[in-house]
Amino acid sequence: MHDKYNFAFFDEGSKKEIRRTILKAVAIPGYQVPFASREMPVARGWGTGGLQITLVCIGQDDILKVIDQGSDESVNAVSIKKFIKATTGIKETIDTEEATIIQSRHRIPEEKLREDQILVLQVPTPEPLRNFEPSEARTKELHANQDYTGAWLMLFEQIMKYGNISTGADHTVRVNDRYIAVPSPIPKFDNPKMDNSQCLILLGAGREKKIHAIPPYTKVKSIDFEDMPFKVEDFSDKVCHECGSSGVFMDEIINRDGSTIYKCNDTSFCLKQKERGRLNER
Amino acid sequence: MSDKPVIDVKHLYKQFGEGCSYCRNKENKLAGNYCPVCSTVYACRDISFKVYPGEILGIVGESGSGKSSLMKCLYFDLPSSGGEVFLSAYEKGSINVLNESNQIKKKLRDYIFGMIYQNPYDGLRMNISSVGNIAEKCLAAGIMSIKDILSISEGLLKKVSIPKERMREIPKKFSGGMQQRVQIAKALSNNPPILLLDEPMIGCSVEFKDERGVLKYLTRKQAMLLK
Ligand SMILES: Nc1ncnc2c1ncn2[C@@H]1O[C@H](COP(=O)(O)OP(=O)(O)O)[C@@H](O)[C@H]1O
Ligand SMILES: [Mg+2]
Ligand SMILES: [Zn+2]
Repeated sequence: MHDKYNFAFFDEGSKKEIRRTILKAVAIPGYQVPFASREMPVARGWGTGGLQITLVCIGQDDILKVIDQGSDESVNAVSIKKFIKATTGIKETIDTEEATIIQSRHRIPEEKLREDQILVLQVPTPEPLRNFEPSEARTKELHANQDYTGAWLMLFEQIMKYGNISTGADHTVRVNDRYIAVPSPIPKFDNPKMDNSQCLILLGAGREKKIHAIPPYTKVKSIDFEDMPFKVEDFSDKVCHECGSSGVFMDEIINRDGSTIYKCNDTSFCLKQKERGRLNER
Repeated sequence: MSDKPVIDVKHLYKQFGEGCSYCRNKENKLAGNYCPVCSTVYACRDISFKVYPGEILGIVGESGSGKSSLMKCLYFDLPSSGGEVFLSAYEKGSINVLNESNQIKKKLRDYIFGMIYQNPYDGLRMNISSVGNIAEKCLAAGIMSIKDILSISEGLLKKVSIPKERMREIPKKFSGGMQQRVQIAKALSNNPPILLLDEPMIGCSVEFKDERGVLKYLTRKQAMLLK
């Protein structure tokens, strides 16, 4: 089927152009580089930014994993996987350790990523200052001047409204002590995984036509206040109903009888732990 | 008192428009402050003054005479068309700050100036809580503790008689006079050596009973300019 298309859908010229954008993004950690986002046969807002990055990075020997909110099997993940498979014929996996390219929406996998892997995150709104300043020309100026008061002010307003830092996801980070950036809507729990990550992280916003990057071994700090330091969600006392893990990001499931159980949000991780448990039992 | 001015303004010019061969020729007459040929407005022409520590300088002039333009040039809201400004708090007053980079100008705004605009809409974010508006100035001046920001805000809001219970409300819901008082609290929150006030008491006079108290408080600052 895939010989109807050029390998990985794009023509080589388009690939080179997007790769140049990525190189620039890697060279300026956290800086949003504009690019000529292509029309894709997937609806915008369904990860076309991430998809374009994946397509220009992927090679014949790559092994692909796609997840949506921790799940390999969601409709969105499956359709992206199908599309990439159809245009490349490459191998896919659900095993985080086996994958060489991982495209994800809303999560960073639980298993620690390595230097030989690339994590591609889908970004709906790449500008961390957008709620503070609607004009793109102005936010560009604010970034240039490192005028980031607005990011802290938004956080301050939340604290005034809700009494604490209420960002569940997409908590702004400072990259390499310079640019502030969105981590994409990953839960706060995943923010620390970006800090000094061994794996290259590329973030693509198709609709907003921007790519930013966190190169390996880059300092990533979640913004906070002196007397209200950044804190992740705490799952240390929760145990996964399926696999028995604790201290990973959990989904809360309320049973019909009103009781609550917890389950790993990262489904392939959960499966693996379950397998391990079974092997140990034998 | 020190003999060094806190702010030293030399031959400041501000014009709106490019000017033309007619109005650039000093012999030719303008229509008031405005060129009859190219419509360039000459808002400030050759303004020089010094303000020393503890001094208050009031500037009086009819409407349209360039008072607000001068304030905005000093606060770097508008680029000046010519002249020099020296601040004793910056490089001991040895550098013309008008020629500094945007980053430096921002630092000067954040740390050295407080500004109260004639129109509160210029000085406040109307959809952010009043305490948030004050926080913005604090954060810009490097105050990164919630506790400190709250105690500064509560103290100042009390001084301008805005009850603590209302500090989380957005200024949009306040009367003009209250908005102006939030602006005053904001401008003072970084404890600026120089305070710029552009008709600060407009719309305040009736409800702002403690006006003189506030002014007295204000004069403890190093210097200020008001009109
Ligand atoms: N942005 C602008 N563009 C063009 N002309 C302006 C602008 N702002 C002010 N002016 C003109 O500059 C002159 C001085 O205005 P202003 O500084 O507001 O005076 P004041 O505050 O003393 O009333 C007026 O003639 C005004 O119309
Ligand atoms: Mg005026
Ligand atoms: Zn002219």
